[in-house]
Parts: sequence; C-alpha cells; structure tokens
Amino acid sequence: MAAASPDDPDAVARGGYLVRAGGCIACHTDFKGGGAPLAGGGAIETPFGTFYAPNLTPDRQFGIGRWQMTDFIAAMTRGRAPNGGLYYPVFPYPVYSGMTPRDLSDMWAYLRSVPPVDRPNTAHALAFPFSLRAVNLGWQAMFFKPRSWRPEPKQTARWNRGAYLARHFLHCGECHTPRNRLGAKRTARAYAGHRQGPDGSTVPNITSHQSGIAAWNAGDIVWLLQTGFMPQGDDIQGEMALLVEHGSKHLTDADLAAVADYILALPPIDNLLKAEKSAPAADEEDDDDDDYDYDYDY
Amino acid sequence: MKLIDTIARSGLAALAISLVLGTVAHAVDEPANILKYRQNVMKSIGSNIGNIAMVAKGEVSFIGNTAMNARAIRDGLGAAATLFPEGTGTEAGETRALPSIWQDNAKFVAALEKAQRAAEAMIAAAETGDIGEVRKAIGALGKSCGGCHEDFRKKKE
Repeated sequence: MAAASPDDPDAVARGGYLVRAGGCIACHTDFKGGGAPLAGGGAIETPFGTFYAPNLTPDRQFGIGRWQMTDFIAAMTRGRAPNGGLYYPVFPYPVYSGMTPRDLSDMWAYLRSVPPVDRPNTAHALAFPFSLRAVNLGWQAMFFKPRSWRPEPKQTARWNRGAYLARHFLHCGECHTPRNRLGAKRTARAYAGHRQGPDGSTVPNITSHQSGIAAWNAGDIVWLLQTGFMPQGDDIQGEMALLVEHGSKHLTDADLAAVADYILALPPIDNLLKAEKSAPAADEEDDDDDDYDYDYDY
Repeated sequence: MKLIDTIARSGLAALAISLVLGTVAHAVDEPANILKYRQNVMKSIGSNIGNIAMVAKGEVSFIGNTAMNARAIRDGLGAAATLFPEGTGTEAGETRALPSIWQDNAKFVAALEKAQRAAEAMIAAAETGDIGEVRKAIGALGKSCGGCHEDFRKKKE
C-alpha cells in the first residue's frame, strides 16, 4: 500500500473524518486539563485501574513523530507497539483491526498533519497483575483475533455501512457490551449494557428490547449522536458526551442514519439497569467466562 | 337551605383536615418539598427540549411553538438558580445533586447562567422560524446542560 502523505489534502480530510468517527480525539485529549487535541488523554477509570491515553501528535519525543505508517497499522490492527510490546485492550484495537487499509492510510495522513505537541505521557495506574504489560500476551492469545471487514451480502448497503462504522469506528460495543473479569467482551450479552462503566456509571442497554431502547426510532439515535440529547430531553454526560462532541456529531447525516439502522437491528436482550428497579440485572454476577465467542464480529 | 348547609359543613371539614395535614407533613419549603419541586422543574425543561428535538428532527411541524419551548427552558433555568438552597442534597431525599453544588457554588451558578444564555440563543433561533437555525442552536444548548450535569450531578447508577 502506498503511504498516504500529509501533503495529500484529500487523504487528510478523509482521515480527519475517520479519526473523529473512531473516537480518537475523545480519548486522546485531556479536555478537563485543557490539553491540546490528540496530545494525550485524561484519566479513564476502569475496574482494572486508571488508564491515560498517550500523545498521538507527531512530536518526536512524546508523540508518534518517529513512527512509520507500518507502526501505526501494527498498533491499530495488532495492538503492537513499535518496541514490540502489546497495548492494553482499553485501546480498542481488537475492533479497529477491521478498518480497511485505505481508511487506515487516510487516518495516518491526518495524524501526520496535526501540530506536534510536546506533552509527556502519563503512566497507567493499574492493579496487579494487570500492571504487568505481559498480561496482554495472554489476553491476546485468549481473546484476540484480527478482523477484516467484509460486507454481508444479504444486508443492504446502508446496513453494511452502519455495521462498518459502528463496529470498527464508533466502537459502541466496546463500552455497551459487558466484559468478564479478564476484560473480554461477553458477546452473548452484546450491547445489553452493564453497571461497570467509567467512574462507576451505568452503561445503558442499547438493544431494542423493552429494557433497552425499544421506544427509540432511527431519528432518536441520530439526534443523540448529533446533539447529546436523549429523546425525553435529558442530556448525556461523561465519556459518551465526549464521543458525541469530538466524534459522532461530525459525521454526515447519511452515515449516522446507517449507524442507527445497524443499532436498531441488533438482537434485543433483556437487561433492565434502571436504579429504581431493585432486581439485579439478569445473570449479572454469574461466572461469565464461558460466553465469550471467539468468532463474534462486533 | 339544607344543601347549602351541607356544602358549608363539608367545606369546613376539608379546611380542618388540610390544616392538620399541612402542619404535620407539608411545611412550606421543607427541603424534601423543594427537592421534589426542583425535579419537576428539571423534568419540564427536559420535556421542552424533547419537543424542540421533535421539531428539529422533522417529526412534527410545530416550529411555531419552539420559541415557547425555549422560553420555558430559560425561565426554568432561572427558577433553578433559586432551587438549590443548602440542605437540599441527599440529606433531603433521593437526589443526584452532588455536594459540589454548595462547595463550588460560584462555578455552579456560572454554569447555570451559561445555560440560560444558550436558551436565549435558542429563543432567537426559534423566532427566525428556520429549522436550520434551531438545529444550530441545539449544540450549544446541549453542551450547556453538561456544564452542570457533568460536575454537579451524580452519574446514573
């Protein structure tokens, strides 16, 4: 593949669009601390510890200024750092791996084009044994299979566009699908939400079950992704608000409508998470390591 | 005459009952009452935003009501500024209002004022009658909600 150049304005523009779609800016920018875009993120609290997304600007000391495009593609599709180490799957490379080579190349062109910022990275603060980066070797062996995007011919072009964007860019399932104790997505519960969200928040069920978003239409989903407002008028906060502000709201109406189609077509799963209902969500505390599906493509 | 007598008596009885209940359970401006009142105000702001959204999404054609919705939001936010007296946090009942409202009150008040200005901008946008202007104004309004909800409201559990 020919390396996209930061001098190719079309590639840069397409890449900027895709970088927003992928949520890169939302995570890799410290908005609370007033940091520059992509120069490294604020704290992301997870059950495994606190992660800090690194500097993605072309700064040669603190950013990715010394990287080649092959380094970028290895990171995005294999979770591999230039020094051979593996990234934690909080960086959603398992789903980014399904991006097409052309899209990756455009994103690389965009990342080369932004101003370098000499902001040092913050080390993750993780609980043992997750603090050992080598755990990612085991994690990959158990849970990682690189994806490659293939449209599903039985579905419409619009559904396929939505699936491609929702799975491999917006990465909805990375948060809305619950994870087991080892941080693998419980794919039998895909998009059904859970209570282990960032900062102890509840991540809602976005399947079209009554306990999820059965009452929503495609316009409601597009509206939320454009404005951060839910149909009943409440606004979203936290990570999702950042993903809207610095990600989804920059997408075209057609792309968001495609994403909405895809979300509405997800298999409905019963999982009521509202606080006022005291009944625990179904199988929430089960030993859940057995419902990981290696071939599940979400 | 008998009818009037009956009405008068039942009226007196109702008055007596309400006086007793009033003094026992419903003291004026009790923190729990303010909390409930405040939540109603917030819900009504949400309902008004919900209806602006339906217009902006093209689900209904009532753009003539959008300025009314926006004024209700502005006025509701103005009222909200008076609805967070000390003592109306979790000590008063079930609420997601965080102690930071009172610890960092200047920031809270500033965020509330910013939201009012965003609502003012929505009124102006709605008065043009142009759905495109409404759609443009909604972004700032949405962000301004986060000004309070991000730092001063507990996340949903």
